[in-house]
Amino acid sequence: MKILIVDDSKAMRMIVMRHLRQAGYGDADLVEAANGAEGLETTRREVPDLVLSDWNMPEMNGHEFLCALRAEGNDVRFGFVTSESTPEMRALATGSGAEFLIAKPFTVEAFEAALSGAAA
Amino acid sequence: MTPATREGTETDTDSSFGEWVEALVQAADELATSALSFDGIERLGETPGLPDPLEGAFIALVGEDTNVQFGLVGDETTCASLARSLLFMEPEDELCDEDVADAVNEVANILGGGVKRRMMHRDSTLKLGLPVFIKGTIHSSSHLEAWTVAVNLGPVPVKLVALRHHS
Repeated sequence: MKILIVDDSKAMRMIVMRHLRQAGYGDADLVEAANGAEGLETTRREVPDLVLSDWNMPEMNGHEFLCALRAEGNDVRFGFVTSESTPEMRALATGSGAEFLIAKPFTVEAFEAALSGAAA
Repeated sequence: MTPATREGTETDTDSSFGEWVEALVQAADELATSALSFDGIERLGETPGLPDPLEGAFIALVGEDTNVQFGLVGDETTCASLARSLLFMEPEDELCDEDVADAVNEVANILGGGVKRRMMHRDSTLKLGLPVFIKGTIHSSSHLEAWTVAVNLGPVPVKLVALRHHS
């Protein structure tokens, strides 16, 4: 399984990778990008099975990234990992094609629950 | 551990700003017990105005009726401690300045998200900005209202700062 992690914070990418390992995805092939624009290019190049993306990022935010993917017909499984966790943002995320939204601060259990659905 | 109740808020600053400050303290308590793996926060004291000098990260929340910024500041040791806690690192582990700034920015991002979630009832148009890391001084003006709450985030002494412009 190949998972793309998109976040402008190197620290948060490291934390997400740690949580993925602890959630049982230690064998996954993890690739990284630092914003939505990089994420779009990396998705085209690497063809991940799952994208985990922050929402607020410079250059292209996570929602714009998701919309760009869907606009070009890419239906890759997509989840947000973000500090944005209001009901309105969750509704916007799922309405735009995201499978889940993991809110920061998060737990390993949150990853297990979200990804078990996404990886099914 | 839950944050202490703020007393005398409405005599020191107006009630709406006090509500933002309370949301900041509650978000810091949530941050401490989750992302930073601490027991909670201890509220040490508070004062109007800005701490000086400061090192830490700020993040803005902006909406149709809102323009506020929140910071989490201390000194170089404070920031390094927060970064190590976020990254599950040991005290002796090396961290470069760039990594400290990146990690403390992420701490501020989580803090801002917590404040936003608690304050959407006041302004449903709230948007969270991107964090910025600051070393130095913010110059206050007559248009700037600031409030500083000193806390221990677990073992780390930190000052929580709320800023807003008078309309």
